[in-house]
Amino acid sequence: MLDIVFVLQSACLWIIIADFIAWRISVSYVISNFTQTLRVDIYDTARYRVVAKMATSDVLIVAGAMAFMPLQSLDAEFRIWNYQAGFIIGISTAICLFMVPLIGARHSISMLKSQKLADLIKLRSAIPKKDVAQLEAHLSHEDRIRSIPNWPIDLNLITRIIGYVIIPPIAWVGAALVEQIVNAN
Amino acid sequence: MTHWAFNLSRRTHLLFAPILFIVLSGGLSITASLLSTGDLVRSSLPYPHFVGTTLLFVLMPAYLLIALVKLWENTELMLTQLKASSSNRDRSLVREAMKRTPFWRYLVILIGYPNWFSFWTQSKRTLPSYDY
Repeated sequence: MLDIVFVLQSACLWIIIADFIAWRISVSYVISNFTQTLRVDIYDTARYRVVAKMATSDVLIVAGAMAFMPLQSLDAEFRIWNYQAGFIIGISTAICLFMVPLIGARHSISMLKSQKLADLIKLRSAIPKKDVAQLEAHLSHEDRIRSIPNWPIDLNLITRIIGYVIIPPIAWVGAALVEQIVNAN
Repeated sequence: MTHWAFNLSRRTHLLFAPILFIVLSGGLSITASLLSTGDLVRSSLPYPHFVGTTLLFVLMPAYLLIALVKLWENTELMLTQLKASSSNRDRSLVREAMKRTPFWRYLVILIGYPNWFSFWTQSKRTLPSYDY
């Protein structure tokens, strides 16, 4: 009887998780299409970091869900098969939910960048070679455009993601420590 | 088809919905455990692994529901901030997608099948050596 309860619990839990993942992946795909249609301002790509922020919150939610997994080890016995499905699905979902919306934004930014650079190179040929000052200003403008990152991610966001990624291991270590303390008493 | 969680979160308060989940799923789990194992309440945590998985079963849906509402808010915030760079039609496409349940979710649910199968085949191995 207990076996059946275990199976039913697991089945219901996975149905809910799968439903959530399916919903979010489909929304991420639509967001990716949405970000491809954005009217990008090449001089203000920082405003598109809001897409990355939203994708980061997806990673946080997956990391938070993975932090629940040690609940299965309340008996202080680590069994890899209690974790393997969560690991595989959690990590792949986090990568997918983070990358899919950003791919659209990256596509928009890189397309506009290429277009802008092509225009600038065309304009450069019209500048007289003797006009060094104008040529220098033009070249530095080109360099500025080239240096704009294709991905709307900054260091702050990367630090935040690293913080989210280490949440599950910290939770697991915390759970193991509590078990050790309980066992010691 | 409108997403079930959207309807639920729209009709109930943000905090009420997880509580509803906890009460429903927790009540079902405890009833099932009492039926299957006897007096779970009287003894002091005799089946910790079972209690752990039951807690997971109770807490995860509540957590995911809160997450769903939070993601909904974040997506709305993103759409608001990108209002100047996008058309009304494109933004409404995202909003519509959030309300829909993808038909292929049943394929994703299959992800769970190997896990369920392993519960059957490894049931002796999965269950710790308590006197169940």
